[in-house]
Amino acid sequence: MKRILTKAGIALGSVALATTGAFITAAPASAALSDCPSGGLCAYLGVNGSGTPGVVYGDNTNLLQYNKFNNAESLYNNGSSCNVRIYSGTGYTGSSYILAKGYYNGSLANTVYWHNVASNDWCV
Amino acid sequence: MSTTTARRTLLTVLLVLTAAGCSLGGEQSARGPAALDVRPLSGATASTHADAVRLYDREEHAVAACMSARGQTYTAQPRTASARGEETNPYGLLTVRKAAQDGYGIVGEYLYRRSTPVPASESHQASWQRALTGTEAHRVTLRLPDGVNLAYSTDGCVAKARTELYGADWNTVEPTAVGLANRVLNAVEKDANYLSAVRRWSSCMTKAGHPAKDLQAPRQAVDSRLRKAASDETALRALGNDELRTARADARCQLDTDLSEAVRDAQRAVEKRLLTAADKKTVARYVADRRRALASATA
Repeated sequence: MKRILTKAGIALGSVALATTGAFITAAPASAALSDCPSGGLCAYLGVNGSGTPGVVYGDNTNLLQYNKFNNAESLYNNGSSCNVRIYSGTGYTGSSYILAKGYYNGSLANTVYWHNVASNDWCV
Repeated sequence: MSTTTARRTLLTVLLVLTAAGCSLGGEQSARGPAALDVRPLSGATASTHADAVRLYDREEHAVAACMSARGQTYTAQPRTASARGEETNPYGLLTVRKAAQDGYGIVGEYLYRRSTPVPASESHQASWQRALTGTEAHRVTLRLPDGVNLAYSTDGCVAKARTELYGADWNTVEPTAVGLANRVLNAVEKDANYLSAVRRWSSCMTKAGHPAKDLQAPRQAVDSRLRKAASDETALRALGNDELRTARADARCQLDTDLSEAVRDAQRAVEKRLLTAADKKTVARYVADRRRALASATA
């Protein structure tokens, strides 16, 4: 069943959703995400959650002081109760987006967040 | 300064900074000209704090209802984030009034977090977590206009609650519209006219005794002192005062160099160049979905 759905996802992935401009594909599972403790926002030094994560549980106006966020290449919200907003600037400035509970970024490459996850705000 | 006076001063600074994140609304300063609160897409993806709280509460209740229908108990969480997330300008534009009340919001946010911590996550069974965030078999990745890859599972109550509240297309429309806003912002920050305006602002800051090469620099300077100052109320007070002083100079320099006007003009040019008809349609759908959700939240 999983294989069929994955194939369907890949087929869909070749087409941009005409109405939104977003591209959608089936996402590969990552064993490394299981290393992220429940309730944490995890930052990884490699893509697809590879390596040991750096974790924050609270809000931070400056995440760049933490090596794993200053050099983050992927992110995972393993929060069971809150969404978290991620910013490319300190003090809740710059680009931002909400990483909902259970959502993750397999690669931050070619984004302003690459090696630059600068602040975060939980329960938004 | 006597101990009593010092305590009173500290209390005043801290109360002003703590309250600022809770109360600042759309700002129209009566004391001098106000800087423009320029935001990408004419602020289409921005929100007031009150609306954000209302929608957050509705979404949490939708998650709880979905979990209940799956035989799981989910306790809706209160929104603990302060208003600073909505009220901080993404470009770092400041008004003199806001700078005088809250600085950059750094010490104020620290004090707010001290009084309103993020709720602790409890550990749950794997079946509970699967019901909430979904399964790998239903995991998809969206590639957004600003390059972000966002992966989630479509069968979790989190994704279901979002579609129930905003509409079937929300899980693609929302991140895509936000990605467009970010793409605009990133392009503005590389625009030659914008960079030239930042250099003028930077010269002004140097003359004012607060050298800074870009708008992030003064924030980072304050924040880099926070961890150490947090353990000492006197140091925290000094940092709070320094933050207010720097932010006031920053806001004044922004006014004197017409920085917000430069951002507005650069953004106008960038949006004209970057946004396609399909992008504008996505933003319109985002606005309509959100408006409908807000109407149902207040009904």
